[in-house]
Amino acid sequence: MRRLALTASMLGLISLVACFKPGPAPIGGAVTIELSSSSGTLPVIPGGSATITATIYDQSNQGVTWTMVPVNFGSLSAPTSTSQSQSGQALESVTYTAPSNFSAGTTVTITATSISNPYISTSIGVKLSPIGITLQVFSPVTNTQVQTAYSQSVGPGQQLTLLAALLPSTVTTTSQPVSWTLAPADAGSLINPIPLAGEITYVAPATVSSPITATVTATVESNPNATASMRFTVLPSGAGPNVAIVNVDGGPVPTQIYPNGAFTSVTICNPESSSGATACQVVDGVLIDTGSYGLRILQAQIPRLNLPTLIDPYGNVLENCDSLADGSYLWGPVSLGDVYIAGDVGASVPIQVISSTNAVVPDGCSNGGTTELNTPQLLGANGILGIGPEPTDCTVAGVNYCDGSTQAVPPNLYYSCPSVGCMMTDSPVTVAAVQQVSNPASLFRINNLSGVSNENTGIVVQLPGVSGSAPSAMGTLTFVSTTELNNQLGNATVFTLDSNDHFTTIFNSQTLTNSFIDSGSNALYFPDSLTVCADKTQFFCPSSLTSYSAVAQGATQGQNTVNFSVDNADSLLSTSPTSAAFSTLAGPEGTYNSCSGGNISCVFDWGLPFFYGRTVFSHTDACTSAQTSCDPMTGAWWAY
Amino acid sequence: MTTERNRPKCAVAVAVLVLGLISGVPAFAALGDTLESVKADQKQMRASAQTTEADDYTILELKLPVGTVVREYVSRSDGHVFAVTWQGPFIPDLQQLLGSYFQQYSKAATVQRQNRIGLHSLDIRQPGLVFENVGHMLDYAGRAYDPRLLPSSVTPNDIR
Repeated sequence: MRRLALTASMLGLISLVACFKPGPAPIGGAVTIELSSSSGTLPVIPGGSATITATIYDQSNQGVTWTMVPVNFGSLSAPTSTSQSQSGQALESVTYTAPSNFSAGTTVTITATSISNPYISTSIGVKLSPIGITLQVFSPVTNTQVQTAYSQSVGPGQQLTLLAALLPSTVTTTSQPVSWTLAPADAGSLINPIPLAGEITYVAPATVSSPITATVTATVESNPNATASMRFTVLPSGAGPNVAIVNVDGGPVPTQIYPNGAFTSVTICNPESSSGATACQVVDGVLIDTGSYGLRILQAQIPRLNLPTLIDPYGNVLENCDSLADGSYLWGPVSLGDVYIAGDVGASVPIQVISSTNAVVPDGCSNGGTTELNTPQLLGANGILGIGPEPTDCTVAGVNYCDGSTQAVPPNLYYSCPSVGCMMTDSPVTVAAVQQVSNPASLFRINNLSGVSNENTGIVVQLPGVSGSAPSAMGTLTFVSTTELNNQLGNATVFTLDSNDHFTTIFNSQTLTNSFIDSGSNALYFPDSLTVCADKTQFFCPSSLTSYSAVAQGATQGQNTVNFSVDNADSLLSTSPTSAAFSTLAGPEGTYNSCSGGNISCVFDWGLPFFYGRTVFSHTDACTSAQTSCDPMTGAWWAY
Repeated sequence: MTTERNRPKCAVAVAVLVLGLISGVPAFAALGDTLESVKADQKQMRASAQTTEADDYTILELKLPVGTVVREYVSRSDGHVFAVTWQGPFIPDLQQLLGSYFQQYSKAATVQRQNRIGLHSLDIRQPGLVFENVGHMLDYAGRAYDPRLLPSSVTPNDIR
């Protein structure tokens, strides 16, 4: 390593003072200077230092002067020197000390200039790196450090051991002690610190009456900027390694409130990076969407990850298109990421990384829409977690429309483009099912925290009841595993689905055959003659709170009555401008009494208000052929 | 069912035209085009087509290779396509389907999206174009019509 660094500095010397060759002492009056740094190629951390040594050949033996750029970013000590050897070589050293605190990596250039010949100078760059810190949970089961999601749920009294890892790799918690804090201070306790190992144990309160959130923060004592936090939500019951926290909190954009959006956080890691500490990023504010399939994350939210993309044998990048009903669309490459939600992990899950650049999008994808949802402001979220009852974004009831199995002409979902980008005229391509953007839940095979293998069969979303409006609501997203007891159906009714994943809603004398449950819809949407709002025209505005009753019917089994109320959306939203949860928000779709043969007026979209006060199960379609030849209980179904 | 008048006389004349002949992208007549163009376009289709006759119009129903069903409503008096509907896993190619109305659709969709947050349906109501689209991933339904082209006996409720 040292030799490499020396070689590097010599190469630098050649380029800087090309007329002087390094090496044996020159004959005559020429002067040469070679520099080396004790830090080699490794970065110097805040407050750290490196010794810069100049090897000088100068018969007049007058030495060098030292300067640095940027000036005053750290300090240089007074030089020390050795006497000249018989070969005419002298050594002179300075110690560079980095500033005690800085937040971004940089390089300081240190220059030694000959006193006898000021035209001769040599420079060396010293890399500086701030201290980084990451936290991971120590698995009580497998006795290893494991990645977990930020939105971890824990039960009362549960203990979790946390480990801090520092960056760069030359820094350890032995040399840079870490201090721990818990906020709020009464949200449990921190015990058994092992300072040298950077370890501490969080103990959740023994009893809680309602969910509380505890944030454990580790700070490098010498460097208050170097902090990392983990957030645990203590649930009175139902917590577990397969349970993530869901918040209806208006979403991640500070300046706008997303009404009736349920958000969670997801940790994504680069499957090709061996350093877990640098290869993972937490993304908060990811919308829970039972109306779509697959994880889609804004590229700007995972700037460090540089996930591998799917490339065909010709070097083309596989791009994915998600067309939304409102004419907007999501565009970006299919990328592989290890996906962590709660304690569950899916390895190398194909996800869509939504391009932040305004790349050319094929006309077939945009389909006349001009709104590419590629910022948090436009999307209202940092990503979408599609956890509806299908395994990929091109599968319906056992039929895969994109893999070429049922049709030669693929729909407008996948495009194969050169790395420089697509053209507007590009046509879609067929893609094997395993390369399609996939529902992470269907790829969860092992729980990181429980260490138990499982075949995930679906999800459960549970939200508290909301009366009218509420500032926020907190609930859970549970990944169904046969090894956990917190996801049992109990006395929930199962509603099987038809070959289009629909059930029927009988409402106001209409038989709405194309009904579905969609947590990504922020209201209940259905055909009715109710007055449409003057301001927010996508919602209904009855003169007063109006109660309704509908009957849901599964394709082959399941029937029950669903009661709901609709309030005046314009007054709801204006009188509760800071609220995020609304149980009585509804809006029009299609035309009242015009359902015919599954047309636009046959849809009852049971959006997020349906979830308030309910526990809703979604079973992932496990059919491998058309639904007609598959047991409906093996296919997609809902239960509540 | 509220509007019984002008309901298609189902099975009055049902002609099934299976045109799996020529390869190429499926194409269909655009809103505002004539029946002649519909017939011309069928030569490029890989879709099966079926017609249903009503009093004042003909419904041409096309099943696209990607599984989506498109219905085109053709006026008998002047031969124009006055309405189109669709339902199925994928939104059809709207440039093909809307023809000269495509730019109007595109502008209106952009304006509507700017004023809304979240994942919504589209509901454009302009003097020369009504456009509705609802649904979620792999499940869409919609319709578009020009109110000025509707035969006098036809109401929007007939467009299904």
